[in-house]
Amino acid sequence: MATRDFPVQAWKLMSLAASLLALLSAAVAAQLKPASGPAPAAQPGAGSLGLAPELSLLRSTPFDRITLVDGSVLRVEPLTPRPLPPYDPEKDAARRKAAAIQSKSKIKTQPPPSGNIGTLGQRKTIERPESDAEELPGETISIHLLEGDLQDFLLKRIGIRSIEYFEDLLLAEANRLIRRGDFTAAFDYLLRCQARDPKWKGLAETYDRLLFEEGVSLLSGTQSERGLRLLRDLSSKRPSYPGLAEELARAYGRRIDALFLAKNYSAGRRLLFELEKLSPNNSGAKIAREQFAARAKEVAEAAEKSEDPGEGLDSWRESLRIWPLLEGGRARHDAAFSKAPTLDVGVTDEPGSRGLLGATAAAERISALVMSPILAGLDEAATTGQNPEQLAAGLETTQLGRSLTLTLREHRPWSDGSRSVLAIDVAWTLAEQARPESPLFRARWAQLLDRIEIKEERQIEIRLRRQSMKPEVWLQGPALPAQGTPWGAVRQADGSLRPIGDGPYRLVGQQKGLSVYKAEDAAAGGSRPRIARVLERLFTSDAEALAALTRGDVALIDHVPLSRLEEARAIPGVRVGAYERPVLHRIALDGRNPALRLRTLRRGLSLAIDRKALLEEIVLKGPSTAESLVSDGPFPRGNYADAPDVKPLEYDPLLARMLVSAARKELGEQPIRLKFEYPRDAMVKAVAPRLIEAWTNAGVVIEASERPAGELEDELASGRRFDLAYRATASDDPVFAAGPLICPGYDASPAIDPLGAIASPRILQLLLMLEAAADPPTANPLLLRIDRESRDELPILPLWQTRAYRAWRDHLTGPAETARHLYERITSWEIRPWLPPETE
Amino acid sequence: MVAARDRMTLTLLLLLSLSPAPTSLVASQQQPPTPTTPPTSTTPTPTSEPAASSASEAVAFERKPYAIRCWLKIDPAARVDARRRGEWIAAWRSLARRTVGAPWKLEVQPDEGPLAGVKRIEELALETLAQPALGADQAWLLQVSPNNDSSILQLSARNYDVDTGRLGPVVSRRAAYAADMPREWMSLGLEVFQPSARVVESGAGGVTLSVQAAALAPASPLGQVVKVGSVFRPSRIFQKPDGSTLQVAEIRWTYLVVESLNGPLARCQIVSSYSDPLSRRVARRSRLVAQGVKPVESPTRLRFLAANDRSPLAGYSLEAQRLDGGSPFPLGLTDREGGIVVPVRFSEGLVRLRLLAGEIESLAEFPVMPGETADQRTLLVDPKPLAVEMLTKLEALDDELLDLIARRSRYEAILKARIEADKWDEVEPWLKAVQDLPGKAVYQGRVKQLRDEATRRQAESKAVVMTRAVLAKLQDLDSMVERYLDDEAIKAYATDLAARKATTNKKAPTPVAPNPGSATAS
Repeated sequence: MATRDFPVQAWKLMSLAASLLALLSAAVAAQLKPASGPAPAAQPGAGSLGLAPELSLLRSTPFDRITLVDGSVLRVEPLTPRPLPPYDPEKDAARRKAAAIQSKSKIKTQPPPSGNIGTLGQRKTIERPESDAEELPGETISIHLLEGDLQDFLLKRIGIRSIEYFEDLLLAEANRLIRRGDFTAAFDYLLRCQARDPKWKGLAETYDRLLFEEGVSLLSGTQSERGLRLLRDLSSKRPSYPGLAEELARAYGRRIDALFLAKNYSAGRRLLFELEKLSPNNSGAKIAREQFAARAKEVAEAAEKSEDPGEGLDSWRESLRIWPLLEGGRARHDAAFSKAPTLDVGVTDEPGSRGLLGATAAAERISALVMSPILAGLDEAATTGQNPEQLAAGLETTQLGRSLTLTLREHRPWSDGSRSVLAIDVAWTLAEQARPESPLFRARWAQLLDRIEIKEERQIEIRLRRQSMKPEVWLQGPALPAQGTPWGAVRQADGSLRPIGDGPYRLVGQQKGLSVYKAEDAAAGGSRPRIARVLERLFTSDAEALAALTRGDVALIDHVPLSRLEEARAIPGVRVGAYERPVLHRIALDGRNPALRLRTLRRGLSLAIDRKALLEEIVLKGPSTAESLVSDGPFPRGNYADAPDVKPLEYDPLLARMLVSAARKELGEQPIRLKFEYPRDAMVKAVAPRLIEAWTNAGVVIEASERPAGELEDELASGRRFDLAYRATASDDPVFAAGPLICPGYDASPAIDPLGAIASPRILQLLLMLEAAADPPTANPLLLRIDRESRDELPILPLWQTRAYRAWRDHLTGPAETARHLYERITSWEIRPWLPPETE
Repeated sequence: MVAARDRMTLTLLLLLSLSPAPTSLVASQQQPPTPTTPPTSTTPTPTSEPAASSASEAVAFERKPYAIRCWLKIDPAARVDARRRGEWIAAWRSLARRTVGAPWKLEVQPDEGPLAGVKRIEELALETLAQPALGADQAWLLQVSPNNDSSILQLSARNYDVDTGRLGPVVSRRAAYAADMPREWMSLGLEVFQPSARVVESGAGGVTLSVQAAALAPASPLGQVVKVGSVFRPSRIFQKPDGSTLQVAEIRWTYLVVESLNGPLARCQIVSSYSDPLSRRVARRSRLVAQGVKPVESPTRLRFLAANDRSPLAGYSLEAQRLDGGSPFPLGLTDREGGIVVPVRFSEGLVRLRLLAGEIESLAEFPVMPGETADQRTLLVDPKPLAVEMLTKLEALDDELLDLIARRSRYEAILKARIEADKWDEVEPWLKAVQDLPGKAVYQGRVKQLRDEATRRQAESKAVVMTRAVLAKLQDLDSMVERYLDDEAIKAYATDLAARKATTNKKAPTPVAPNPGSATAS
């Protein structure tokens, strides 16, 4: 009843009696009392404030809490202004008295203009000010209760004992949670407070406290790096925060020690420098500094003692990696480098089970290092023996191309120093390639070769059964030692088998993703490479390799991610070069699977693939270019074998579903299950799920299998069965490469029916006709026909073609802008002494 | 499979009319003689002996038991002494008497005869057999040797037919126990034994054979010389004026399958690649004989060469079909040399094989008895490159047409649903989508263009282009275009839409481009 006596509209009745105020306060306080009964479990932000769980500060409507002089507590809508101006009751009383006197004097001295005598029957025009109703500014505040009688009231500040603002409540709860160690929840409260008023008094201090407490807490756990970061953040804001310097020193010290022990010197050093900046006279920092310097010195001493120039250089590098400030270290490193110029290479693939004999890019790359080809190409320089990097000193073709006389160079010793490469080695290698049981077997060569005759120590005659287009192409591989295994390994004196080679380098060590190749002596090849050592470091993706190139860990990488090509070009001191041959991406199909023999299914699988979207969204992360574009057949676009009138392969998921359904019916309504194998390559791994999704949507059950790239390609080349396989290989001259492009096991032993893998018999016939073609006028129309008919026959599912790129640092000179493989003409390359920027 | 069968039949018919290559499986005697004759009967000789020689001679032949001369070679490594050898031979002869009886007259030679000095029976030379086998009807050569990997003894045998001078394939068995040896020899003998017959009559789509010893009652059904289903391989023996043999010519790719027995006479169906394999139009004096043939557990080796330039037909598929019908089943692809090795026991009896180009055009069809010979047999075949190329084009057009029909059906179904739901606002875009697809006239033109091209190329090249398969495919395409690309319904919808527009006189809402991807959802 009493509360109804104080509506806001009765502004003029503002002379609230203290007693009535007390009554009102008591009544409201009674309404705010929590309900009786067992208290529910407290929510963060609720329990400590005596609020019901539903009134959690994070979720509740903002409110302020007013405590009246009698101890009753009111929950009201947030007051304005916030915070209220300060209020002193004594000063207020004096001010009120002065104001009243001033008001009375004004009334007396200023009568109304119309006079102050009224007439009968008229209402008084004079309005006497009611001095009791007047309030001074700030003496009363308007409040709106949030509980009980939801009305607005005027409240004299004299009756208020205290006001707790909502922001303060949030900060109080955050502090409580910080004490309890619940930093995430505390952060939420601080966020809410910041959202209401970023400059609220105490917010910054509480946030700092949160950073400090959480940082310290995390330092002792597994997330010490994050803890350190929080403390660093705090330090940048408030370097003088109590206890921060000590905590940082302790934390940094622990981290530096751990990194030092883990030999992550660069990270440890970075922390050390940071600590020194944060705490200039920190004793721990001094100790750590001495620790680094001592270790660097120790390694440097080992470098000085090392007899092997390569090992010496490695030690110097290591020493400078530990402590770049080592006195005189840089100069001595450069001196050591000039003794053993070393090239660090980042690669992303390694040869498969067939090693250097495999058909993979890695095998080709490494083969160029450790082996010399019999013929280094099909150009005139190669066939006339002018190319110094090949074994052949000359090649004579007679009997309309059915007889080849090959003369070998002198002084091309095997890497074990046993003897030079002789005719017997070449003859044995070529004969092995015609033996079906040999791992070197090449079916086309076996069919072509009639006999080999060793004429002299360095001369052989090869007779062919028929005329063939450019039979020299079969001599482009390396020769293997006749006394060795088909894998090129020779039994050593200690009984072990060790591969030997005749190339400019030899493998001297291989472990944990690092392969070390050392240049052969000058006497061996006649021209000793200027780079004494090649260190190949294996990275799991081309992006990682690029990061290593950017850091300066390596000077050359074999692949630049296509989507980051421009980024790579923009890196200071880095050059980007292309590979000559485009890379063709396609899905190989095994026709030995009866389901894939069905043209209907093959068409369904093809129509399910949105090639353009995959290429542009995943591979290029941008629009197609003239070099990287969607394929319409087995051959590269623009190649002489690419038929110009072939329509692009369509994308029609609905038609794909229909065709797959038709194929399923043809197979007796059994689900079509296919295994999809794809290489472990970052780009392919991104594309594969989309392909699987497309085929699954079309109605095919796909089992995915990720395989190491080299291993997969070698296994496929051996003719083993598969269903679907993602292949990305560089394209060679289509006359010789058409078969292997379409069928991975095209040259495999006939014992496993590799030709049956070609899903289209028509394309197989054309390929075999091409194989028998003896001249370009016969071969070229066949190639065009293969390209044209492949669109309908679909022996493979063409995807797209891309241009591959490599990149190197400026201090490496020699790599051409365009090359066939990574190490092309490596013997002429040079490298200057150089250290990664981190050691500068 | 039906299409394949049709293709095969078509090919057969075409071959009958056009090609001198192997064509027909079941030759009919009523067919007019064609220039096509078996490749071995190239030397013109006087006609063969009369169909029915003197009755007494025929009876004598049918009642004459087979004089079988056997030579046995036991490898010393088998550790079989003379006594054991004698016991085995005696037991074997006893078994032969009890199971076969009168039809066989076994004569086991004490020495190794032609086997002397021969390491493996496969290496046996034909010329070493004629003289020792003189006077006998057949010579059997048996070898016993220890198995490489166990104590089991390996038995191998070959048959030499004195009349035709043909050496049969190697037949092998294994004897796990020494006591089983006579029984295994008996089984081997039954496998090796090849009945001989003379052609006594031909006509009415078959021939009648007089089978040697067929009139003699066997001791058990096992000893029956000829049965319904037995297969014979005919040969022509050219004779000198004195009646002695001048030359024996195998009639290739021809078999005689016994359909019925009439006493010692067997009525046979001719299964051949040739239209008239047993032609009487032979210049020299000759007689027709036949020799029994059975499937043997050894791979069948074939090689196909192009008839024009002898180049290997690589990458062609070979399929087989049983004589009594059934679905054809694939056997494999020819390798780079045009060869194919058909695995052991791919069939239990005579089958017809078919060589296909691109699995679409049948190039050759011929009967084969599995494992009949260990040697590779070479066939010359017309690869019909132009016809195959044309068929490939037609297949591509067929795919394109099917895709179009599928799309068109989808659009039409949606269109129909919109009209039935009276959603005329949505009809127009879908109608336009259907009308934008290539129509009947386009595909009629393309089919005609291909037909004209095939005709022109055939005329220019004088090579077969318009094969039965090509013709059938062209006809299929015509039917598909005519049946599925009919525009009548679409025209009717368009007329309805126009009429509705005129009557309602309302401005049609902006057409929404149809999204084929959402077609199923809608």
